[in-house]
Amino acid sequence: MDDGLVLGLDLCDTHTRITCMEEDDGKTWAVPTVICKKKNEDQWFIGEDAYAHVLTGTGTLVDKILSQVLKDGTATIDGIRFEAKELLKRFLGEVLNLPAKERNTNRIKELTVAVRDFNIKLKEAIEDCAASLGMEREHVHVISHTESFVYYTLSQKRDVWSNLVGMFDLEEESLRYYELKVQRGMRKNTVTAEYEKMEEGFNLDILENESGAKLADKILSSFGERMMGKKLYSALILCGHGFKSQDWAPEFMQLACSKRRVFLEEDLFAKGAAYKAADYQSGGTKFPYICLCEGRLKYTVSVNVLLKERESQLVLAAAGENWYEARSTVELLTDDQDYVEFQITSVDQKKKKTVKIQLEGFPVRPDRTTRIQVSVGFLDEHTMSVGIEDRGFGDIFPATDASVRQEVMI
Amino acid sequence: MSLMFCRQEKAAHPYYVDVLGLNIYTSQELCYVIYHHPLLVLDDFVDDHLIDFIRDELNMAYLAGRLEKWRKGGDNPDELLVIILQECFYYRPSEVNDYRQHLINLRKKHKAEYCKEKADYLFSLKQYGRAVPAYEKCLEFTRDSVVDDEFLGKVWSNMGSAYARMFQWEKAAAAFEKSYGYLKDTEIVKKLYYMTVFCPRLSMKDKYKKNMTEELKGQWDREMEEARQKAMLSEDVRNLEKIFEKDPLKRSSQAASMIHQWKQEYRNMI
Repeated sequence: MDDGLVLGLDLCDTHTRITCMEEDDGKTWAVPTVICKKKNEDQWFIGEDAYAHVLTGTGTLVDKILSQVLKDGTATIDGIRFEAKELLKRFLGEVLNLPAKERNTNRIKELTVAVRDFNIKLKEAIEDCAASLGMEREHVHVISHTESFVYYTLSQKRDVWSNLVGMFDLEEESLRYYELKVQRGMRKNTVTAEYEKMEEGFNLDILENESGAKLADKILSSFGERMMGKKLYSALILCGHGFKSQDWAPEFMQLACSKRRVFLEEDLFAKGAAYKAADYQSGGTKFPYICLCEGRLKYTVSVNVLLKERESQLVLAAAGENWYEARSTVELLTDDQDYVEFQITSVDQKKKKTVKIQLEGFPVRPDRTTRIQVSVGFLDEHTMSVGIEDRGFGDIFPATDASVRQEVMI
Repeated sequence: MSLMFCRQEKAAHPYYVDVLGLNIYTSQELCYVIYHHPLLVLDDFVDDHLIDFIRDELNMAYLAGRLEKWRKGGDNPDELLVIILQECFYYRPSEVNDYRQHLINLRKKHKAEYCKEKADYLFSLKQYGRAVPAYEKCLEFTRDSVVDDEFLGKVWSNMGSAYARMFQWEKAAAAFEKSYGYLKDTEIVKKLYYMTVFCPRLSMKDKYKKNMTEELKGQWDREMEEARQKAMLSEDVRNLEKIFEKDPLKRSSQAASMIHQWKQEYRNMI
């Protein structure tokens, strides 16, 4: 391998795990997501070291850093006000130091960060932090836990994901069930992944006593029964700190392990992110699938155009692309047409709809002498932003300021 | 009804079409010029410079190669225009066929007739400076059934109008006098009269004055007054008035832009 690290980071409000990819596997470090500043000194500590300084009264601790970033929060330490983003940057710097120290290199070739729920503000904050730590933006990516689950699973042997794959993720105050299915298609295989969360999660502290553990087992079993029903799985995965020990959950384990292959993987999201980071580095891709999950488009957006006298479909955004990266700009000439019609189609082609945007206020010119620039981007998974501008026709019909902007729900 | 996909080909160095005074940036604009101005592109439009533009700026090496090969082959050069239209897919095959037929029809015309049509076309585009030598060329043909008094009279008359549009009154009057020699038409006398109105230092010769009765003169004066009144109400004048209604800052910037436009128009004319 070249010098430089390929890293996958599972960044949550309560815990953080970082996997350093080496060949086909990697080493993972885990720390609580907390940061502490040593009193009256510019020294910062994370994880257990941070707790140690707080317990000895030599430091001030900040936790829930991600929530604070989303709220544009601040923390005052030693009389100095720190923005949450600044604290996140310091935390990330320290976390990235863990593999860097051990591998004796500061160079990070690729970093993929998995977050529990994808959020554009969080994505931008993480990218900004990484950039201010000296990383190149194009080598920093943020994905959702669901997407990380996809990369982790598809990196396993084929028989693991030949059928339905289910996963329970039990963390502090969070219980989620993820499901993944690969469908073989005529052109490309499609992998669909989604999750369902249990609204009333339980604190893992209740596992410390017998009655609490029993209650937790009951809650988990009932959730498991509801999610799994009589589905046939090729694999079931248990993930998260809550499954570090399974002794507290005999009822659930009996349900889960009944005629099923069950895997335990505590660092799944960090590893999934690391697989993705390695994939970015590989040039091609080991995942030639249309991936439909949180953060990805479920529909293809196209327009019918005439190309060399033939009707063709011009794809502006394809199902499976990350919505926050999916953007395209094309130039078209209108021929006896004062609107642009977008086709929005699901992967299986079963759901189709058309959206017509009228070119209001555009100058009237002879046919094929109005060049329009059509730009498409996404504000979220379901909202497409369309911009259409008059580009004129060279010096023959100069461009005007005419333009249309519209948001389209897809 | 459709939307045509445009190749990404906006040229960094556009091709300047001198006769139209405009730059071409894309293959679609090139096709548009060829299709809409056949009389301007029929002779020697496809040269090395244009082929280089097609290859280097439009990134259409295949088309450039085809054009070069055709030129070397020494076949009908008009077909070069058709090849461009075919390869760019801007016009439908039926439109390209119509265009080819149009070129054939133009080529079938008498050379003097073709020459006058080209000169008239330049005139219609307000390219008066280019129209004049084209009209002069029409006068070089030997007299025959087409190149007769009527033909020559019309050529001189149009040439006079071209000079007049460039405010070259003496040359215009001289051309109208020549025209009158062939056509003996009162309309030409009217034009000569107007020259003296626009340019008071000119005077009408007696032989033309003879054909101008007081009644005719009165009628021509009324026509001119009507034209003047109509011009006062034209959109251009209204736009000019609007500029002067604006605050001084906007007025001067818009006035500068309008003067620039007028200068550009006049430069294209001469």
